[in-house]
Amino acid sequence: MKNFVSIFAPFVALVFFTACSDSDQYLYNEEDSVALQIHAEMTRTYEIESAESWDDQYPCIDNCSPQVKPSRVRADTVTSKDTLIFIGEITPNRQAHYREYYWTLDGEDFSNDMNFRKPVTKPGYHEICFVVTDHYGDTLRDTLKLWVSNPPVIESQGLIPAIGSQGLSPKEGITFAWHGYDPDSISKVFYKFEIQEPRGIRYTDDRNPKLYTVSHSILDTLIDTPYFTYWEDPGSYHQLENLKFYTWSVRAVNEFGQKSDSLIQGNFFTKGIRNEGGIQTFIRFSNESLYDRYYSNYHGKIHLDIQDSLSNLVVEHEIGLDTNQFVVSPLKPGKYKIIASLPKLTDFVPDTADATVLPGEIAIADTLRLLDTIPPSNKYLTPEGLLQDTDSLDFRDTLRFYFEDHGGDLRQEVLWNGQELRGYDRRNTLYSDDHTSDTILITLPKSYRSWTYQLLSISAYDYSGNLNSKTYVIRPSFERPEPESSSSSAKSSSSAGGKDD
Amino acid sequence: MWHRHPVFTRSHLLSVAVTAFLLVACLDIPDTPEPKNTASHVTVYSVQKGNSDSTSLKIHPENPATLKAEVRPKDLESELRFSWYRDTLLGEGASFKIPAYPEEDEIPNRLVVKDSEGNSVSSDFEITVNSPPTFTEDFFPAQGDTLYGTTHTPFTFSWKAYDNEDASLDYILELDTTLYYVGALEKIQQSGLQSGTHLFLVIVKDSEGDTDTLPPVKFYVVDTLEAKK
Repeated sequence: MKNFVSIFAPFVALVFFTACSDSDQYLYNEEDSVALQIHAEMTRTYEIESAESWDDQYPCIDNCSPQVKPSRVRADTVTSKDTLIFIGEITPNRQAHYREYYWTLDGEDFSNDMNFRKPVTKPGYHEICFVVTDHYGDTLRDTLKLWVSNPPVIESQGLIPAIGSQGLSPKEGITFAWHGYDPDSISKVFYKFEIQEPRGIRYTDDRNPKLYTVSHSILDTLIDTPYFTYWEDPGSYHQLENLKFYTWSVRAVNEFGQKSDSLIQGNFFTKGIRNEGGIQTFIRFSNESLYDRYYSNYHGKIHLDIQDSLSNLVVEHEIGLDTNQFVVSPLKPGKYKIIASLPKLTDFVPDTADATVLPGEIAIADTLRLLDTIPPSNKYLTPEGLLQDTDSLDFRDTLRFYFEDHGGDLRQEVLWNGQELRGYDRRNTLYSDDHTSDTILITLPKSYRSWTYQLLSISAYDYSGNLNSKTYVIRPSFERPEPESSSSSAKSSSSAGGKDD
Repeated sequence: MWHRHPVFTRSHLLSVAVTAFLLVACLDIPDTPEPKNTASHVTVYSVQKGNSDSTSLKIHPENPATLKAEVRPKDLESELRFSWYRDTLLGEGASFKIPAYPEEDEIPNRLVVKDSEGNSVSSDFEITVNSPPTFTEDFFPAQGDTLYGTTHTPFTFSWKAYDNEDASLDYILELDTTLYYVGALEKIQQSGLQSGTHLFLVIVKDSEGDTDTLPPVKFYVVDTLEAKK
């Protein structure tokens, strides 16, 4: 017993001691001596997706702009709606080299995954830390910096001056005010304030055509207050003129460069001298693509006559087709009649509007509507150059048709027996100088010759969409061939007749 | 003759003692918590004209104010000693009275709370003395005025407020229930007013959040265009 105790007591003590300690963690292993490195990054979801698809579909081959790569960053500014992907890397990535890893957000638990997708919604500055405990119990950290901020807000209500305000004087100072703020109260908000003079209107020719206004900038500035006072500055090149129509707009942007979703827009009229006033009116066409500047040279200009109450012509004015609103000033107070017409496009019926000019104000007249309801004419042009209003034609290699319209450019569609006839020879050189008439030449291939009646349909549209659809009957170009059986019988009868001879 | 050896020799006892010591060292038995009889936390808040302010500790100089201390746990308050300092001791007690229009050295910025055993807890704070802005009688249109124009006519609205501390104040104009955030502007022109009775009032706010309101002003608009009809 004595020997047993004396031998095993130290071992028992050693076993207990070893059990209490964690010595195996500290035993030297050459493999574990590799220096551990960690790295943390973050990226936004959509950037990865878009970049992957671009790399696959549009590889850069030669002399091309660099592809957008997933932008993994270590510091960023995002909105609370953005989803972020956090990426942790441990090198060498063998589990034998580390005990655990986790992520913290501002010191609080954030995730226990190596890589994960998660939003950070609380506005403000955050530190996201990737923490790794290595085999020896040492802690390694890599910290990402993140600002969460939502775009500034700008309200469309409560604008000063109210839309359509009259008689504002730059000499007395024109005050503008709006309600803009940072919803998170963490960033200063700046405002891009502009005053513009509308100069004309354009019609986009993309797949979703729409009108947009072309303006001349009077003032374009960045301010840090949600209000602004415009004062007349005689030394300035651009300044507000008397009795004119102007627009103003504001967009908010915060210190992170985030812009407000909405843009506020207003307009106003400036004051005249003494009691002078003016008239503003808007012009609309049957087809608003007439605003397109590319056609305005052919189609002339809008002619305006402004008559007083005694029908005396007070002002004669011409504006381009690319203008949908105009202001005529100065005018003395009184009643006026505005007559708008298109002298070069006589299919458009002139329109009139009445307006009463008050002292110091610009009267807003009703919109003048210039409408064209007259379709183009369509006539056959004989080889001798005569126009024929016919609907039956002989087959010819070339057929000529003459169209006339006084409402803008023409467009034709040609059908041969109900099928679209492509490649017909349209000679635009025969377009008249004023674009009021058009002649097309239709070249028919010989294979179209037939012993049957055939149909040639021509649809002509003017700029306002008025349609003239006409179908010509093309007479047979040769006699119906005899059926083979009858011809053989004829032959036989002929031969029989020969026999008779 | 054989000597009878004891089963446990001195060396055996030593081994056991060392083992026991190591085992005890491994144990992590927490100390028994001692009951605390001292304040763990103290907060200061101000009371002026019956309104308490525990966040910005703001007082208006025009009226006397009282600073009050709140300790946790609350039942210890009667056993504690409260000392109010600003460099030197200014007073004692769970509350401290600040006179109207106080000098800077009359306003404490540190409170020390001690119990009978000498344990103490302190709180450093800063009292903001701020005068609220005040509207002058200089505003337009005046009560009962009649303005002539059309709905497009921009009518002028003006007001004026002063503040002892702030050079620039923030105004909100309320015109017929519509709010206009006009910033520091003290004069604007606004149109869109129909013929009839209208109300406008202005709220001013300084950088400390103190406000004043211009009482509602009733005025009339006569549409000159309608009048001519």
